[in-house]
Amino acid sequence: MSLEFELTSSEKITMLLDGELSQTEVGNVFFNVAQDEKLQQDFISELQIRKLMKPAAVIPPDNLRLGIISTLGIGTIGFWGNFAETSKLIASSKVFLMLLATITGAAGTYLFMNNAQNELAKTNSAQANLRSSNSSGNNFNDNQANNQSVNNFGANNFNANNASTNNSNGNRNKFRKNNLPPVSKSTEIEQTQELISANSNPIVIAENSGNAKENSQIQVEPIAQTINTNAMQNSNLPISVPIQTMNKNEIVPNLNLMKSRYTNNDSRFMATFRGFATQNSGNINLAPESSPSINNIAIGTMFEFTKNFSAGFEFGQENFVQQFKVTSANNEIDLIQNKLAFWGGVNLSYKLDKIQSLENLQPYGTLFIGGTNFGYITRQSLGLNYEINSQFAMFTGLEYTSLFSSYNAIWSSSQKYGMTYGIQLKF
Amino acid sequence: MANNYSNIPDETLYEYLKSNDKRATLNAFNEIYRRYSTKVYTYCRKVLNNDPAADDIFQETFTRLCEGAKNDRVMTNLSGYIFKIARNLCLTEKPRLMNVMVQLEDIQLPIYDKNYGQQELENIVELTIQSLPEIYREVIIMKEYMNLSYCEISENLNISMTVVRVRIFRAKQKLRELLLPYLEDFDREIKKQG
Repeated sequence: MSLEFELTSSEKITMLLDGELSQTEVGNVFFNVAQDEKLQQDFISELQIRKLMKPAAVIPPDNLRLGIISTLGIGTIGFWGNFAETSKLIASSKVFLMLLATITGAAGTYLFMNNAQNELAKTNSAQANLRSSNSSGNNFNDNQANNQSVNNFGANNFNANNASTNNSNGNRNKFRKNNLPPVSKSTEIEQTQELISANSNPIVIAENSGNAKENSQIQVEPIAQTINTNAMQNSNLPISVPIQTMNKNEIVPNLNLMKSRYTNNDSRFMATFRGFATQNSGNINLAPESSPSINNIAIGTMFEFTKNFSAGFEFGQENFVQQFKVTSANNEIDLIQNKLAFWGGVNLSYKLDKIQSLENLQPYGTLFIGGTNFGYITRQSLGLNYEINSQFAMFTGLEYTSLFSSYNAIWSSSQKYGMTYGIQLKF
Repeated sequence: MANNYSNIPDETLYEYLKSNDKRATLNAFNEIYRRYSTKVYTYCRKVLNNDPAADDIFQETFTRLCEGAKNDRVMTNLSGYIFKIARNLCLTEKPRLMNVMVQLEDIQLPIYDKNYGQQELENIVELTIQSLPEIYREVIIMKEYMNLSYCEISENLNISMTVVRVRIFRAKQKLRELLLPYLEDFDREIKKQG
């Protein structure tokens, strides 16, 4: 374009540096600049400003693209497309190797501990006894469990006619151990082992009178009859205690939630303190001391791969109530223990964007997979996260936890579900 | 994936967005994204000066582009169309951002892998650009950060080339006035870096 008579020399300099002048005009501008000292100053300052203003372009983080693809549904399809793309990011990250090492370590630790436990079981299973003892609480721990007698589970406790039990309609009544009437020491309930071995937490033994069950595997004789433990073999245990898993409502502490920052490749340590309500519903009632108000404390680190997806590992402890149901011709016994599990594993989290209309609450979902000192654990939760500031967050939601453990190659599980709540400190 | 599409013109890629074949749509989207995402993102960041809002607007721009492709629109200038979407969204968002209160403790200063002097200068430039009137700021961002020609700017903003030229010149004059005291520092920084 010909701008010879429309533009000032300063304007031409600007256009020159913007690449908007033709070759002929460029020559003219340079000629003018060479002649005029003021134009030279303008030229230099123009160059300086251009240099100042020429930062690198801002490249959008890849999670934005993933978000668009997910919204449009043109990925592998929705969540899975996002997940596949995110997996690529994870696999190409150094943190992935760190997580992999953690998983391997956790699995290895569990396998080692589990093998040791099995070895012990083979040696002592036939001798392991559980005898009810005094009506005041009895504690069992892992070291003693394989050869422990718990006296005092009187035969009359197993009597269907016992006045303190209610047998109507087959409903089960449970009695706290403390409520059991005085009993004869002549009856022993013998049981192979570590199932009840548990830990230092109190075991609550409850008794049910009930109708005989044909498939009962437990031979609990009436009054004054002792079960011969020598007859027990692993293969056909009279009291093999194949565990019936229990469902119980319990308010369970939660998993880690994660931070909501946009920066990638930046990890922060987080300490999570979780709480759960002390009341248990369902058919299990544990005293508060058996079910502490805060029994799940975890510490872990999370790594934010994308704006929405984070992963990391964490370690902690948590109580699991396990219920073993044993039945005899006329009696049914519930053995309840509150077992402390030390766990560790990988935590995956997917967060939605903050909801501005709801005070920036942020819906989240998490999946935890790991091992404990006596089995595997998985945990899923859905909830809301609220960041009070960059270092302090509160969360609440619903959680479902499953603990898987095996005894004599029989896998069983304990489930917990309930409302979780807690705080999270980031530092 | 995108390599096969890198030689395909914008208009054809846009046609692919209408396709029912998800793979083709995805590849076309990825290629369009590769070509324009950096410019659009830069524009959103510079215009809005609010990173989370810029992220949202940026995503919304490409989402609307793809959703709009389902209509029987004949595309003749894809880049202009994308920038027009982005610009309209930014213009809508900007007044809303004016009313957003940010608590002091929520403000996090970024950490830069640059020396302090240089970073300070860049911050000053950033602030200076933000202080320009809207009409000047927009053309400067398009010219300096998005590297668009005068012709493209005039098409995107729907104004004449002469107006673009005048606005750019005046914007630079204002910048020069505001930045003049810092230009000596800038020279020193350049010399330090060798």
